[in-house]
Amino acid sequence: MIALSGENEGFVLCFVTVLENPGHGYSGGLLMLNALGRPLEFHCTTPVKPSRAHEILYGHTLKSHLFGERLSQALIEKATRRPDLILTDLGDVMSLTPPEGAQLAQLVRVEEVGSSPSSGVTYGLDRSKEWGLVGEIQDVRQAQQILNDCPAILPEEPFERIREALLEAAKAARPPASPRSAEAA
Amino acid sequence: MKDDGFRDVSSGSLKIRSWDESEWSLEKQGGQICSLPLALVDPKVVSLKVEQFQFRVSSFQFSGPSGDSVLTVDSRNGALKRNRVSKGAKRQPRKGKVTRIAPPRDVIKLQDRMFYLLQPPLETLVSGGRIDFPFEPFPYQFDGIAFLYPRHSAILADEMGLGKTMQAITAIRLLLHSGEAREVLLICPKPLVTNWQREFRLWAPEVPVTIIEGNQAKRKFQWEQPSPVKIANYELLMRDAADVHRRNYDLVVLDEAQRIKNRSNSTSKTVRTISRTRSWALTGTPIENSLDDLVGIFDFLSEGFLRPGMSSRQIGREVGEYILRRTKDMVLDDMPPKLFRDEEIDLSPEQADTYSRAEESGVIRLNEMGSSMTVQHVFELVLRLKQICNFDPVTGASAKLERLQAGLSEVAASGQKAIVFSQWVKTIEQMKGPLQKYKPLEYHGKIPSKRRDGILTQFKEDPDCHVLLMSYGAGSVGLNLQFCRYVFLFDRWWNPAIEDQAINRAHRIGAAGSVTVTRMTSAGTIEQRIHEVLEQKRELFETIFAETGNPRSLGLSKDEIFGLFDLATPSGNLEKAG
Repeated sequence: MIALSGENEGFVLCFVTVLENPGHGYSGGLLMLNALGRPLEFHCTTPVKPSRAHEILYGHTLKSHLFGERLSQALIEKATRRPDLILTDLGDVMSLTPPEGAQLAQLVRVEEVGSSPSSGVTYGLDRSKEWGLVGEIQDVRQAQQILNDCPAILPEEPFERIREALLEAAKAARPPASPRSAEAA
Repeated sequence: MKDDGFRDVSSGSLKIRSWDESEWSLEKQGGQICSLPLALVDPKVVSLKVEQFQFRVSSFQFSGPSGDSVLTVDSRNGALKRNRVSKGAKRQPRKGKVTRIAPPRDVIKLQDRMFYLLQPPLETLVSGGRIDFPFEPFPYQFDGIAFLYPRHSAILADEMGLGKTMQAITAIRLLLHSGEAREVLLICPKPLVTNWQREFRLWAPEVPVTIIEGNQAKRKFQWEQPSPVKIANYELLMRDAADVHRRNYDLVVLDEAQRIKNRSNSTSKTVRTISRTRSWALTGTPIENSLDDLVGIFDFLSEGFLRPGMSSRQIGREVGEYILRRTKDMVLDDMPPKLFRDEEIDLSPEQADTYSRAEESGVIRLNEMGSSMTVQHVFELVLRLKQICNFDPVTGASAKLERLQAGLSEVAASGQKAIVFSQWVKTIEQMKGPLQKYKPLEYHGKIPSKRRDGILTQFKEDPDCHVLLMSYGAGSVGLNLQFCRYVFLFDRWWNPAIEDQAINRAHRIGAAGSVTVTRMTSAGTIEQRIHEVLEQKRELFETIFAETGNPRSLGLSKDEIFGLFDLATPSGNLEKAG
């Protein structure tokens, strides 16, 4: 294959989401794209099913802990590239700690959060009245700029790719070894 | 026991009388005493063990050129190079339908399946870099590209006129850009080489294309040189087989792949031996006569995958993953209509006289042949009669020509253009003189290939040229004449699929409006009988195809040819038509 110079040129965008696979639990998926929407890396977790004890003790913080601090964090740590932007479509993923220099924002339907989101700020994307970003103001501003500089990427589209890939991985995986934890083949 | 400390802790119904470390003594109302033991017991600890979430992370890396590059040719050796596209994309993908690339079933490895699943929608691929389209493709064309792109074996069998060429070129282009292919060999019939060259210039202008042509030494050099896309015609491929086999191709594409439907012919054998990674076949008629045609094509894709004699149900089950066929009715709601006019024309008196004598003597002769009669003998009689239906061999009279002239006068008056198809070059030459005022152009087997493009250009651009006289053989495939709104079938081909191909030169994507097809048949003649048989078969075909997806033969069988004259097949009694 012909080598390209400057392989790391351009923005690297990271899309993270979690998919619930009924009966098996939650799987995290992370897709890194270049500015043209091409896949650079994909990482996914085996499914995790919280136990009753997890549900009792973590209470309403369970998803935030599992999605953000555990699954997404593990995925981010596996990535070999440093992303310029981490985008998620789930508020519970926002608890992850992004690598230094990476912006973190949540993609939201503007109609769902309205004009006053519960936390952070919402910025509409220049080219989409339908979608907006939620997060820390500095992150969101920069995320908006990065997305505007990557017009080939429809920000909501890569999540669909991740979900399909997670389903594909689930099909390839063996049944979970225990109710609590499942190991992929 | 201690009495001090007595106090009333209730409303009077229950009083503590005494307590010490081990017991409380309580007095109920009425002096009844009860005691509660206070001895400390060891508490039981119930531990709730919260295990850490356990999971594994699987990683997939996608390295190498990922399409964010443009192709250029190395001036030293003609090889393909990629240059980075500047940061940021060129234009925004349109919203709405997105076309995803689904991994084929035969891609087993999870890493490979992920590669396809995680590719951006085709609309994004196209809009993202310098992969520009001259026209906005139809959604079904994106589907066709998404079908071809990930497949190592594929037949794109869209009906004529839906843009198989464009879909194949774009899929090739994506493979070249992604680095999945470096050398592609495209094989097509000789008359279509320049057409492919033109289409590559239009749909993939950055992809260098080498046409294999010239003398043997030149061709040998061309075969040896690396080139992203080589185009060769079937005939040259046969002659240069030794040179072709020296290289391995990432992809070999066969256009008009029905050429290899006969597994034992030399073309089929030669293409099967080309060393290649991917094999695609393009054809509008994957089954011209029988299911074995499809078996022949599959022998190129994956030898032995299908076997002759397999039932249509078995074949249908096996090939679904590898064939994509769409018809205009399925995908184009807004395609202009195709209007058929069946004109039954009475023979001129001279033609009628010649015809009846020829038929009578011909049938008598066939009967006299008895069991030595073959289908070839019947065929010869049919051809002779059909020629008389076109022109009287003695006087040159032609009722069809008169009708054609009337039709063309309307076409010319409205500033339109028409294509007239005939089976015979001789008929075309006979028509040319009487049609001079419409400045007719000829396009058939006797016209050298080098002149053919010029003829098509003149026909398109010269406002005085109103008619193109074409033979079915030369003009039925691969040509885009969608600026024509009138097609005349001066005589009828044996196989409706060939007629459809001819008609679809005009009735295809980009057609300026409705296309009127005039099918000329001489009343009360062999032409009418053939027409009736073929129409019955077409109806049968449509019924079967709708139910099973597997078309049957559309041409005439041996029995049907004999039946044209009410002759029994040689094994039975031969009787003169009653």
